[in-house]
Amino acid sequence: MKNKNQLVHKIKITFSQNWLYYIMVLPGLIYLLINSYLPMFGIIIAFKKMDFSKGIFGSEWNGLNNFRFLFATNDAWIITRNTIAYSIIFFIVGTFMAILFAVCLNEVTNKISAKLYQTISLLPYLMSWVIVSYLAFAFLSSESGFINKSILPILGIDSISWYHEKDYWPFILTFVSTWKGVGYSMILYYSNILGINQDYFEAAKIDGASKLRQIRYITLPLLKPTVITLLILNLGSIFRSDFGLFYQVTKNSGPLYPYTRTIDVYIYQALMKNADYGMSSAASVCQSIIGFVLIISANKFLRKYQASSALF
Amino acid sequence: MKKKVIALILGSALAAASLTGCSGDNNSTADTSSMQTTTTEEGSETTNESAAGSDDIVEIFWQYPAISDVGEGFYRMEDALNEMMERDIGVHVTFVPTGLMESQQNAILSVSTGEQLDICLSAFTSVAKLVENGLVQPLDDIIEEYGPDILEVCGAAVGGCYYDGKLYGVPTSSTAMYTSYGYKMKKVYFDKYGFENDRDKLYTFDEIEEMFSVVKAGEGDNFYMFTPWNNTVEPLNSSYLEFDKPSGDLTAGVVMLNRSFDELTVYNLFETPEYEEFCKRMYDWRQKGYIAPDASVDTDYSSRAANDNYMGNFSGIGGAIAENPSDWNQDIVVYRTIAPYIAQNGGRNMTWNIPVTSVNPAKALEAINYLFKNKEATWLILYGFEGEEYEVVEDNGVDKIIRYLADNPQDLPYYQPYGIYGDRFAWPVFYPNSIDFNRKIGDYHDQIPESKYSPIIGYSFNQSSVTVEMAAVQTVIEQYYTTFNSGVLDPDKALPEFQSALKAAGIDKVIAENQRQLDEWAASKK
Repeated sequence: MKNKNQLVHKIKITFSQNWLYYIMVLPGLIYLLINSYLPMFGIIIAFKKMDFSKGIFGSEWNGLNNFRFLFATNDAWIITRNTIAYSIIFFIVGTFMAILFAVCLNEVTNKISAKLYQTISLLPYLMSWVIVSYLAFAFLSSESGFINKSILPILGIDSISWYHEKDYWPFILTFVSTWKGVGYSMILYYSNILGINQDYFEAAKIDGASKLRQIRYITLPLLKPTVITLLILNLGSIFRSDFGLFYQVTKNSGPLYPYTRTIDVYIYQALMKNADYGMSSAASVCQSIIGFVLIISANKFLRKYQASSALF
Repeated sequence: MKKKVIALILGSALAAASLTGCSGDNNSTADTSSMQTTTTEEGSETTNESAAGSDDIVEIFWQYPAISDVGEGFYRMEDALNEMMERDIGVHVTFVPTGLMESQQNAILSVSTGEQLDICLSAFTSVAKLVENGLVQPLDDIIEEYGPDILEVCGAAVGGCYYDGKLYGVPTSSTAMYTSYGYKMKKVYFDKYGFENDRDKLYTFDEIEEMFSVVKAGEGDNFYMFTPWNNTVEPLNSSYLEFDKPSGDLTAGVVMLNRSFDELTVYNLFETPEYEEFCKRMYDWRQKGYIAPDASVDTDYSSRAANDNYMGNFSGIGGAIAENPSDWNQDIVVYRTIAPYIAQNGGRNMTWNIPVTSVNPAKALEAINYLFKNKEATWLILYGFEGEEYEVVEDNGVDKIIRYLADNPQDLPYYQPYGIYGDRFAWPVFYPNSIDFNRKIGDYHDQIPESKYSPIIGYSFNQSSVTVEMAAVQTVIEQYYTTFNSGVLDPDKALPEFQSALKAAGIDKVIAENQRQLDEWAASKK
């Protein structure tokens, strides 16, 4: 009885102290409810043969037939490999560059310059992938591309038909993805670094540590929890890829597919003209379930080793 | 007190939020199923009502392909059209603008969320997808009563709108059914290099290649002969050889009409020797510089040929070639490569369908029928207003010659380029063609001998048992076709890869099924 009263009392106090924050979160919460939770029942579309004249509930069950198509291709393994590999590479390279940027930005003393650099690095994130694809085309075009016309002749190398040679693309895609995302992912790390207590740095300076040592022994360890949290979150989307990057920037060029076709692109290509809702849902369900399983297991694993960094 | 007020506000806000989920909104999927049943019930009820001559104006949502944002001229046109329609058949039309190639997708999106759409357009695709997903309704019961003029004007063309034994659409206009293809060359180059052109001759690709080499020698680098359309799988935009595609695309095989117009065998186009020859020729042309190196990744292909460093393009051409054909705002010369022939290609290329969310299918059909009956309504939609968008140059009582009031018709207050409304032969003729141009086209069509009619007209391929394989095959085709069409890959290496990928995706199963159904259909006809 007393415990229950205590609990109610606790809730009341939390609420009264933090009601403003709850209101702040309310629109996002509503959006989450409507956009993510409410449509969850739609998962059954993946198991049905959709007939719109009967509606979702009236359509016949199709068992696992809709999932067959995902594995019907020779390339099912290649596509999966591409998706996972790129997710991992992008995370590693992206995190490295973001931390590098954040640390460097922190060293800039002129406040105006710091803000300027941050804004400029953020701009690519705000561009749409279609624009980025045209930027890439301006560099990589065989007829009029900057690289083929200006850079390679200087180095004495022949023109390369970029859009038809697949070996270069893992690097190109990683570069473009990092270029576009670093401004945004850096923000989190930057704010973390700003929050580090200056006393640590002063103490280190007094002890005679160089800048590099300070960064290595103070900044980086303190960023570790953030990195781990982001790692877990990214694990959940390991089966997803940025469609714009893999479809637009590569201009959907066939010869590149072994290195640039990911699950999202494959689904788009297969089902764009097909309009089969069942098959598209099946593909999404696959991605979501695998991501879900991965997050839960990674979190459990992490709980054992560093409970404070675990998500839940 | 303060706490209570806050709590009250929060509580009601949350409650309101949860209620939005169960509103009777059209877009809520939870209610779609119930909405569907009520609309179809209403549909049949109102059919009876309108038969009895209801006085209420029925609102019809009609998909309208537009090339750009619609302007004020469009709304004037809509109002004038509605004046006529409300008076004569009690229908108020609200046009739903869409892009031409996205029309079927947009229709699918609208209908699957339960929005009312009465007439949708299927452009260059077969109606199979719409039917398989239960998005359109059959018209067999209402076509004779509400669409008599459609049947009369379009005649045999209506046969191409059947799927699985039922009528699912009507032709958009009674264009002549034949198709003829060739190479369109800009006249400036024709004059510059002193070529000859025989309108009635069918040119071989070797002859065309000779002309290419002359021009290339004269123009040098960075000058190209044509551009493959990257949304068209068919070789050279269908100018290379004749075939008929039972499913409307190449995933289910083709009947090779270039070999014979009588054989009823379905082939995998990509394994035929003709296709191999085509790939080799394209590869050769690209090495020689007739095709741009970036053609396969070009997203602006549809307007690329208008550029100054292009000589022309392969495409479909009207049969009765106009005296002074023109394209890309300049005169052109046409070199025919394929004699006119009639193929079904999975159904009429452009059809109007009536989705299941239509509130009054009979009235919708009547609205389409009205265009076939009433010339003025058709001209209104096609061209706009006399005196504002066009002027009449000659009028002999039966036909008119008209001309746009601007050099670039896109500058006019109302402009739409798609010839998909009403009776083709009742359209006005464009200056500078002769006033009996419509008759000429009609005569030309009648001249095409029975021997040039595809043997599978009237057959439709029921895809429901092989949809998975067709989707997989489509994906493989998407991967390779742009590269072969622009001659990027060496066919000796890439073609076998392509063929084995197709096999792995299951194309043989699809073709076998297609052949089986075709044989059944052929047997039942006898």
